[in-house]
Amino acid sequence: MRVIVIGAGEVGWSTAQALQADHDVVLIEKNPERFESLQHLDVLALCGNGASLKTLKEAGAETAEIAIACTDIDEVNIVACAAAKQLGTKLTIARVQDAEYLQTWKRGYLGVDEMVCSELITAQAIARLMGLREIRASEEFADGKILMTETIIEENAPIVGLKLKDAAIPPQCNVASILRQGQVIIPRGEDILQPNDRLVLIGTPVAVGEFNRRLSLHPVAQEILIVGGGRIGFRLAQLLQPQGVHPKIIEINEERSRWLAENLPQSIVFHGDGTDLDFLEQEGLGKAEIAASVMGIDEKNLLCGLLLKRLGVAKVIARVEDPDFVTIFERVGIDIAVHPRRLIADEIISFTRGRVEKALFLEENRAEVLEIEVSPKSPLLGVKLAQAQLPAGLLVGAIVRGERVIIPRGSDALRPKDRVILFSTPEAAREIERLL
Amino acid sequence: MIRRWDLSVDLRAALYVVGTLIKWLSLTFLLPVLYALIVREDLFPYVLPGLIALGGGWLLERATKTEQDIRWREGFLVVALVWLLVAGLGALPFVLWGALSPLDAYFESMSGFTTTGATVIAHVEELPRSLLLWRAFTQWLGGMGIIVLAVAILSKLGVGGTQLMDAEAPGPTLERLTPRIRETARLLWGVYVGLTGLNILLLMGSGLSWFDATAHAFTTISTGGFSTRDAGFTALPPLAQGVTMLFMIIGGLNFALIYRALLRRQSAALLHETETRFYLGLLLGATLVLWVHLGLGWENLRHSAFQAISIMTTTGYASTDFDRWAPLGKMVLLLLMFLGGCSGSTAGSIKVIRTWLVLRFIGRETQRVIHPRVVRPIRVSGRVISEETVRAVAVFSIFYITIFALGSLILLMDVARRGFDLSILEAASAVAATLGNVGPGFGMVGPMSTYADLPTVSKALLIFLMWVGRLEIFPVIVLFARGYWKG
Repeated sequence: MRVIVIGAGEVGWSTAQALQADHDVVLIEKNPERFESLQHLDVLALCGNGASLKTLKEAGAETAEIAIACTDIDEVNIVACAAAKQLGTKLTIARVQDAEYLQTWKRGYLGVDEMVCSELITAQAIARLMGLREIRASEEFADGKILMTETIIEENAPIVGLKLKDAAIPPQCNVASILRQGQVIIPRGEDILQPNDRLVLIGTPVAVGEFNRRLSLHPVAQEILIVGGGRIGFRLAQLLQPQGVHPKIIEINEERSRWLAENLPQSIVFHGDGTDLDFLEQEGLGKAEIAASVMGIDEKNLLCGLLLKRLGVAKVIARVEDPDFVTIFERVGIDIAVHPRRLIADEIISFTRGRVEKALFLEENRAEVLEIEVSPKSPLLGVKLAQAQLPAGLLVGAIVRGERVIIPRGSDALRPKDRVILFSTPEAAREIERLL
Repeated sequence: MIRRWDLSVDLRAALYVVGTLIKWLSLTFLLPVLYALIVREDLFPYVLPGLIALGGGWLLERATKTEQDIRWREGFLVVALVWLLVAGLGALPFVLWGALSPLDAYFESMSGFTTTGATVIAHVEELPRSLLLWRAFTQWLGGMGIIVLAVAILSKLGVGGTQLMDAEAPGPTLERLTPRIRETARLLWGVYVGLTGLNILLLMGSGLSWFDATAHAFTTISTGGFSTRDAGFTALPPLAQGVTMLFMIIGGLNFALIYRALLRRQSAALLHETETRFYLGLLLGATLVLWVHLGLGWENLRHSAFQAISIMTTTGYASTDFDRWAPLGKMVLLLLMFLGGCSGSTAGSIKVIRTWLVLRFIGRETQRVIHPRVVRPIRVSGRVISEETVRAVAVFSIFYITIFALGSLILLMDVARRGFDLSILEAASAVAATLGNVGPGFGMVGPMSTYADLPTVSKALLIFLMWVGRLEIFPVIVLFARGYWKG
């Protein structure tokens, strides 16, 4: 099918790259300089304004299935979607940065079928990582009915040395895998938990949360520091508020810091530079349990993150915009690097997938978690999972049946229209199309 | 934004508005004229000033006729001038009756319009009834503000009205009830008239004659403090004192919020407002301190509450001779003189919202010594107060105290020159009571005596302080800044 991507920035580029294999992708880019780099992609690249009818017609918007507007200007994206919709594109997706537009927009309004907000998605991703120090990744599936976390087991955790079957795992929670020294282990009841193991948990948010708290040596973090009070920092503070957590915020711009203090009455806002060691020390900001450095400049986030780590912050999350830096950040000591453009591209791609609602990669692509709708032709329908002879690297983490969430045991069977959350190794992933 | 260099004062436009205002304010003399007709007293002392105002205003208006609207800058001049002139006109009946010398009459009239209540008349009961009514009426007019009244009535002031009202309004901000300033002015006056009517009825119900009820209602709701009795409220029944306490408290509340509470059923706007709570809390606290100090007992509770309310709302009535209280009681009253009522009330002095903001400001700056980089806006009832406003409030408070200090000094210099014996407390209370539009002070200017014996320069100084205090310093003081005229 034909997919039009408007804007060839980082988000557009990643989206086009992910879609090029399965779809006819037309990429519209205004800036001729950036246009050059598009030659590496297997797409039709057009130079022009994506919000103009002429360019959209040229791109074939009349017959296109999907139009994705992801330029850096929110208003252009909305107009481009409206124009594409007008021309007959079936599904339009607009990327916006300002969450205010989410309020303005209602599903289907303005010719925009889906709206994805980068600042919100990033802030949500970071907020999910905030609660416990041990959580290294956290993602929602099936509209929040299912939570997946990757949790590190610390040296002294009470669970170390236990067999998995003795670990009193709540029934609504599934240990999908153990990540141990770069290995992906599909767990059995006899496996013994070791320090620095990372457990991939899939289940209801309540059960996963409960088990995580049991694994954790520390109470839910209250002392949280946000460095950088831009949109992401502000949203993040807002998202933490309902949990009763009021982060301290450092903002370098005086006017902005005042604005933050006015709009986040419960938070303490500092006007200062997050990379100023004297300032961080004087205000005792190293006492924070978890810190997120979400300034607009990668290098500053790295520097600030490392300083905070040195000052004793247990877990440091840093925002990184340059895709080349993501692994570097985590190598040099940042606990988690969050890459907003990757998050937003993933979100956009999930709309374009047929049955696969959402895909998440773990351990540098050594494992993935997928949300997929069971096909009516699946050979597994009605077969008890224990007898289904699933490939070795594949595990059904959860089944969502209507509003109900089932954490499957061997005796459960799939039904048509079920949505399943799968944990899979790349080898096993090839079998998924055939089986489900 | 108006550019800096075209900000020289347009004297013509300002005088034109002054003329219009004076012309229309001549109508206020109709009330004493009517009353004098009824009680068959001499009309002349009211007719003549009325005609002077009408004719003078009309001539001024003719002479300066212009199409130019006044701007921000002219607003101060207009308001300051109108208040000076109106006090002058209001003084004429006292002179024409032969009751007072011109300076004393001007003092009495300025004290009236500014709702101060400081008097130079020892035996008010000897004055003609119509003059007593006029004396109370000046306070009633000044309470809600003569400019607000003019804006409410004159459609022609629609555009410049905002500047004028802002220059006259008590408190750091003028709350608009409606998009049009004229409607706001009307609503405020409507509430004011309604409450006055209620006050009259309740006072009559508590045993006062309708004349006494009306005159006292005029000076209660306006937090003025003139009485028709020589002995003031010591001569009136306790029930009337109770009613008066209630209406003094109301007079010290923000009228815009009263309007919203009564007529738009938004009582939360009034009761949940930080300023209202702080105001009532201070009144309660002061009452308790005084009560404990005077000795527990119903009689003392009544006097404590009455005096705390009367002085803090800058009314200045006395239910007892508080000049005989011990130093602690006097000190409490002296401090209360600096508090005043809420913004948008008829009370004078600094206003409790400014006190509140200054306290928060002090707290914030103390925090900043510990955490120099913390950004913490100051909030009132959840609303963020801009740094600009906080600074203006702090500056106002400093300015107020400075004027108080200098005023006390000058007063003592003048009385020393004339060989008077005035104590520090007496001088300080006289200055605080006139600058804050309270009325009586202690000792020589105490509740049972008058300002009559002060020397000429001292009286002129106190007149100036009443004027400056009522207009909240800046509209008057900017007139003395060279930059104001030169632009």
